[in-house]
Amino acid sequence: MDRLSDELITAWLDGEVTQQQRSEIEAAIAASPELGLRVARLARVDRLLPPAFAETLNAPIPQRFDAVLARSRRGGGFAGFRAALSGLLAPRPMAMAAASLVLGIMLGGAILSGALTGAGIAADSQGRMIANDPMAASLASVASGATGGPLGIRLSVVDDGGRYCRQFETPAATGLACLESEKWVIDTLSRTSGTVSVDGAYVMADGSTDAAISAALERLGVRRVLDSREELAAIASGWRASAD
Amino acid sequence: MSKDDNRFRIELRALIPRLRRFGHSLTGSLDDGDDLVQEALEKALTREAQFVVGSRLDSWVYKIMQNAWIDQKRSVARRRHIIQPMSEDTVAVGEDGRDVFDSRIILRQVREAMLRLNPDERSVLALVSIEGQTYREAAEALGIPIGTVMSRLSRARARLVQLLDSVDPDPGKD
Repeated sequence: MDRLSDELITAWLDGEVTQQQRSEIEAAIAASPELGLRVARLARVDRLLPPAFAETLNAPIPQRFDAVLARSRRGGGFAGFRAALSGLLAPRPMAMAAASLVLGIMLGGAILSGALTGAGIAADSQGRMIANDPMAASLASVASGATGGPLGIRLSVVDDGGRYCRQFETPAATGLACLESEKWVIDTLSRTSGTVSVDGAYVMADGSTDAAISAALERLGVRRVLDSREELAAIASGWRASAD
Repeated sequence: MSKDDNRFRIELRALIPRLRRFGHSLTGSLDDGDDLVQEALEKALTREAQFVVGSRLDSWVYKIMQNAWIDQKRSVARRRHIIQPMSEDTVAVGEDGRDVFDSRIILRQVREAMLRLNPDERSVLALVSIEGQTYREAAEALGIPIGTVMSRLSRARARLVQLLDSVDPDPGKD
């Protein structure tokens, strides 16, 4: 084979030739410096293509695409979005260390008995419930799924108003808090009818409180759900990075 | 909507960096490429039922993107890209022979040369040489026979060599 077609060389470069063609091409290249140079030039431009367009590969994914994915989740009404989140919202046992369990029950109990200040919740001048420390500190620092603290986080989202919102739970209550002007505003608070098992694991008895949270998310509108990496980044930045 | 549906979104999201790269290589612009990615994501989500589970999601979305791009190009309203001559500074750097090989300059030349290929050749080169699709996958995405993939690829590469040689002295000639 003294003159190979460019097409065959192309196919050889891409590994799209038969074993027999491959042997023939490689023998021809070895025998002809001119052909070797032609192949080298074709191979060179091919090698340059991936790095020439590599810019997007390690760049963060622009928010506009998450907005597309989140928007369509809500297509056909909120039911679809809620179903899509079922894995995240499904009741599940939350293991808690015995010592913190006591604190957790106190926190939850305080919220629901109306002694809100003890749990770190106070009303502001507009009558909104605002989380103070230690609850505010937990809301800002606990990662979804972390166990062992008095307050667990189930989900972090950006709502349609561009606010960060986090679904939290204590052994006695679950709720939704949204960050506004550096304050965690309690949007929804709902008592759970769960029980505490003897080994300290907390078991939610029914999904009614999840329904309350889902209704709150529906009302606020969910722009997107933070993945764990985004959530950790938000925690690390003190939730100062723009949610958009 | 099921758990699988959520998985579909997660997989789509994971593809975004590569879809953006494909959009960039087709349009020559990150912004125009991202517009194409957005359109393709919207279409992929509405057509999810048409996706054959077990087949390659990337090939399927590349195909949607490719078709969206062709539609855009057909649209009369779409502003025309005026292809600029190869950058002057990329030609001028030859004064100091070594600078010619500055990788950033070369990579920009490659992007510019890519834009000067005709759209058919650009698509096939982007799919095979950048996205790593096989000839069969590229043929499927573009709706053309494998033989046509081969001939377009071959022409595209030969043209790229020619374009780059015109601004970049062949390293083999020194």
